[in-house]
Amino acid sequence: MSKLSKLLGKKYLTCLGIKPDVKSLNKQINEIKKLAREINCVLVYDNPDASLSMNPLVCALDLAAHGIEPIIQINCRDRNVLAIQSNLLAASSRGLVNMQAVTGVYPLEGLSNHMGLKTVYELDSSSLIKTMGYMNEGRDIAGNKLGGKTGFFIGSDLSVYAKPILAELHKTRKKSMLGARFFITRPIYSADELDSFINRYYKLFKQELRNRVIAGVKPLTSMIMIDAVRRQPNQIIPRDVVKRIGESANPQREGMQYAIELMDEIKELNIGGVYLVDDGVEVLNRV
Amino acid sequence: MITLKIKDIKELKKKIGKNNLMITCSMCPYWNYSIEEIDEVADKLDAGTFNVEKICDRKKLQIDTVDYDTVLVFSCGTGVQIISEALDINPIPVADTLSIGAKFSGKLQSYCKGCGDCILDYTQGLCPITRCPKGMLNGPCGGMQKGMCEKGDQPCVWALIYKRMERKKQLKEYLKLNMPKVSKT
Repeated sequence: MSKLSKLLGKKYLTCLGIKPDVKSLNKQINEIKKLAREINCVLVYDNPDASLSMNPLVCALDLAAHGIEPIIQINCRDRNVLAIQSNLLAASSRGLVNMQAVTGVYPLEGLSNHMGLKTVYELDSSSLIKTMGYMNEGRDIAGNKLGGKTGFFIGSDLSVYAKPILAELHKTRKKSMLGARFFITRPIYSADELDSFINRYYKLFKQELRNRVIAGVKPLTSMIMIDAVRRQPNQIIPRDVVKRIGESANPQREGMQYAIELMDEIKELNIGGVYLVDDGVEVLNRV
Repeated sequence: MITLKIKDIKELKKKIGKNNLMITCSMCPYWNYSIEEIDEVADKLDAGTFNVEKICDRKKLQIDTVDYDTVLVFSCGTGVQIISEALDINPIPVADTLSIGAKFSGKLQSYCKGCGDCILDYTQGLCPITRCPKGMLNGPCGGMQKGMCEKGDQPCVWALIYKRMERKKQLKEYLKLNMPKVSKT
């Protein structure tokens, strides 16, 4: 049973986004365990940036064993329909039900450590949401009966900086109609953009998105990091933020401070919650 | 026509001998490249050239290749295979075969990957299988930026599809789900 489904929209959620660390998964889990009281969920990435990391299922199992609610990200880039469903059945058999369906970024120069990778993309985020919906009805995508019904609590991603924005808004509507119950954003760097996205969505479709959105915050702790982030698709950092961190005598501290301020601004939007990307543990330790 | 991309000449040079022959097809290479560009490739590869009229129309061919250290074929993948079978040799392809495309004002544009499952009537006559690097049936992805692909080198085809549907007031179509072939309702 998904704790996330019970909490979402009722309690402001604080979450972490993590890349399972092959070398020190135990250390990583211990760090998170220390914060168990502060955080509600941990989103475990699936080969983020088309770079190799451990399969998120194992990490999610470890987290669940320590009483921490995991959300498993599933990308459509690395597996075909059979492999994705096989992983979903494995997760379901161990009670792991929170799933974030993403299409998966294309292997890009400077981002992926597997350039030239053969990509799959048999599904995309929308058709993956539908596939999980089928499994919740007790059947697979090909129409075969499953031994039972899965209980996936299905979510997806949200890209507030995508343009034309109307195309992204309608895509979000489509995902919502297909059964996406929560939306986790890519890192955002100003609360206003997210607020405007949510407001426009409501105006267009007369459906409230607000309490189903979990916003991403990525602490920007150096100019090298800022430059790297700006090279990624749809990562738009406001100029004054770049200036503030770049001109600071201590960019690391300033970046952390900005992340904390941004988290406060996001909280005022009355959305579903916030999650911290990468250096999240450190930020939460400082809050 | 079929779009071709000449391989890295430095890499090709590692594979050739001193006395080389480059067999060219009269069709696609000359559509993709100018005669001068093709001659330049032959020069760089120290190869004499032998042009075959439309290789894909010819099952039987007679070309004497005994005197050559290496035989290169500048054609699509079909042409390379036909030459290989007809002459019982293992030729080196000069170009990579890409998709089926068109050429406007000298600029090549890929249109069709020959996937064998045409869905153009669902996507406003624009092919996301070919023109989206992810081949998305339900796009755009979150990487679409200012109407461009997250790879940055081409317009996002799903942004184009969206704009057409919006202009024609057919956004209901945009909200419809396209499932892959394996899916059964």
